[in-house]
Amino acid sequence: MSEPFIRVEHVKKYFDAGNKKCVKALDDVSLEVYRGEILGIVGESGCGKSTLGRCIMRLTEITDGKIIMDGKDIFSLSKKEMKEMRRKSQMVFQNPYSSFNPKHTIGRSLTDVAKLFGMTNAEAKEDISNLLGLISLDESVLSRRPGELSGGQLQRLAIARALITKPVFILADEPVSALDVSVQAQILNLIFDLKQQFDQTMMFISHDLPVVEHICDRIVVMYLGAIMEMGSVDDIFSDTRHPYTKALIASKPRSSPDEPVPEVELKGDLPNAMEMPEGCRFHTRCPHCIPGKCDAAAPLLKEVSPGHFCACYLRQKEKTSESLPVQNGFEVKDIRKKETTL
Amino acid sequence: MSELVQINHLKVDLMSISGLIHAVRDINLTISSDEIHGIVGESGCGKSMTAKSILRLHDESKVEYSGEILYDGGRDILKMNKKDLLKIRGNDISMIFQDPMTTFNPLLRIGDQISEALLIHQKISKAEAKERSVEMLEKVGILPGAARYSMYPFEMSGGQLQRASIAMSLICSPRLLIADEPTTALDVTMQAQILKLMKQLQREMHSAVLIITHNFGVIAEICDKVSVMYAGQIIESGDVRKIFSAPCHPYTKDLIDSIPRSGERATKLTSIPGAPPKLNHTINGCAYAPRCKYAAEKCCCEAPEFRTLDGGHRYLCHLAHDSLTKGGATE
Ligand SMILES: Nc1ncnc2c1ncn2[C@@H]1O[C@H](COP(=O)(O)OP(=O)(O)O)[C@@H](O)[C@H]1O
Ligand SMILES: Nc1ncnc2c1ncn2[C@@H]1O[C@H](COP(=O)(O)OP(=O)(O)O)[C@@H](O)[C@H]1O
Ligand code: SF4
Ligand SMILES: [Mg+2]
Ligand SMILES: [Mg+2]
Repeated sequence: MSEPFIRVEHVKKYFDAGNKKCVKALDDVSLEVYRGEILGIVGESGCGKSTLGRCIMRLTEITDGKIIMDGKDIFSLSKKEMKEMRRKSQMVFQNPYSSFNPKHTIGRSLTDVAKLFGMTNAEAKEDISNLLGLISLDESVLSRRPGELSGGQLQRLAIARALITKPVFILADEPVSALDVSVQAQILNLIFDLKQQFDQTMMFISHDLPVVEHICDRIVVMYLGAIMEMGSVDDIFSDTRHPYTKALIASKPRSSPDEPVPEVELKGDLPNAMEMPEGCRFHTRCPHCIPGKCDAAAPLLKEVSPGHFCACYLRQKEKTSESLPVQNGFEVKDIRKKETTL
Repeated sequence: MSELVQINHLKVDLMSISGLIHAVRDINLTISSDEIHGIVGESGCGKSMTAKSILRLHDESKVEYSGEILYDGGRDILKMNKKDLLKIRGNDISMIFQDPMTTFNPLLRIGDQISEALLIHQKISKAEAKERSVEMLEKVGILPGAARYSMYPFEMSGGQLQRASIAMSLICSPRLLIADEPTTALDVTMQAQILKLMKQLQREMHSAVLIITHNFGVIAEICDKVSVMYAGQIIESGDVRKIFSAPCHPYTKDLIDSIPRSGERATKLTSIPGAPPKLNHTINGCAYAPRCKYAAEKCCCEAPEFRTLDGGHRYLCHLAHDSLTKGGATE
């Protein structure tokens, strides 16, 4: 694989929550984003996905660790380097209506960005016209205001706006979560085109695993500020190791009433962010939790096969095809099997 | 299984700043007791308008209804006086929304609000109401109910709050629960939990549920029957399994195909080009024609009529019922 464009090294981001308590939104996260790949970040709301994105875009300071972009530490850039970094990395947000100024025409919003990065009017005009072709909208949208457009059209325009500066990297934070399923497909297909045509490097944040399955090369599964599993799409979907990843996959609605109901089920809510569970942070909801082990010390994120990492005691041994033993007040199928998997 | 709500030729016109909107354009829909019925369609197709009409929740100075909504074999909800209507709301028919905060007053304790809903409709003591509310909270998985009873809405997560609003809507054992996009604002994991809970409670309490969603995956998950809405009309309806295995209307097929399926990687998804039409003018021909892959000349000028197949399966399209499987040609 090529050299990483972004390297996140042992990053911690703690928020002060008063009363001497803190929220560990990111708790020792390390990962890389390689050039030309789409890296998916998944996990339930509150797992720290947006915080990770905001740290990478330098929209907030970090508590500890390092973030290297294109060989440089982003927290020690000169003013000039900072401006260049802002050009090279762009963002697309969940709600397209709040990411455009409602009073400005679309044309004005797009030209403003182009001018900010030093393009002439003529250059801006040509660029914007090319981009409209790419997102399959015609020039008439330029005279419209955000309120007159549909969510899907506006989200495509948000992506076009991000592309104006010819960024190396685009961070898309839940870009389809607020859209209808029929429109979601349009946006995912557009992102798929960017990848095919320009090898666009991207980080795609979502709480919906089947959505990232379609377009990502690699996937990072986060839970309460830490990485639970990380690997290629094949690793994550065809050789799923972590019980949390399994549960996420199983929570997707079935695509037909005849599909079997998945057995795995994720019970309960995310624990309170200020009271992080001891040991494995997933143990309070994990159907396979081994009392005395999982709730005592946290399993390390270990490489289970080349490029495939997992932080769970059960799944770090070699791949097993038989089903995992179920504990934690659930049915315990066969104790001996547990010993062999451990 | 009897007919609990029967909607006949319902039309809803809405006076808005941008003119008259024909939000619901002549729909027929029957909800039987003991079934989960889904209404599915893209945003702006009139699903919420239809749902709210059943309880007449619109500002009636801005809305004009025609047609009838028969409740329990007789009375027309659209003609009921205010007193009878209030008796039905919350007691016979209750509703939950996408944002559970619309159900709760942010300044009052969750438990007190649930008890209040019970006290309005039933002659019981406050202590009894509290006891039943705690029981209901536990039933929807808010544990321990007694401790959570005195929480305020802001102290709960979105998923918990939606459970609490389900508890409140079911406290009077209504015969019909209307749920308008109840999981759209939630994570997939919470969505799975809430859908499972709704199905389980529906089976336990033998009530009917009308669920509204833009996601066919949600329909697959819990519904028995489904009505597909487009541009203010129901364009196909019938048994969920039938509709999934052999959709007859191109819109239904396109919506089903747009759900991301697992196992498909690095492939393009089926998307529906364009957007549903604005409803401020009359529509000539089939409303879906501008976006339809199968549209023929006839579709643009001549409105299709309903065709009926076995088992109450109906659809509104010029195509023969087996065209989508055969490749499609208008008759
Ligand atoms: N500015 C902030 N102040 C305090 N806590 C925050 C702030 N931003 C995020 N958090 C907390 O950090 C955790 C992670 O949040 P976030 O990154 O938004 O998660 P996600 O994007 O995965 O939903 C949550 O518990 C959230 O409440
Ligand atoms: N308060 C309103 N003012 C103006 N138009 C409205 C209002 N509410 C709904 N509409 C219009 O009525 C139509 C149907 O809306 P709705 O029933 O909310 O659709 P759905 O629930 O399927 O998304 C839409 O075209 C919408 O624009
Ligand atoms: S380490 Fe234990 S508790 Fe954590 S996911 Fe694995 S089995 Fe479950
Ligand atoms: Mg977020
Ligand atoms: Mg609606």
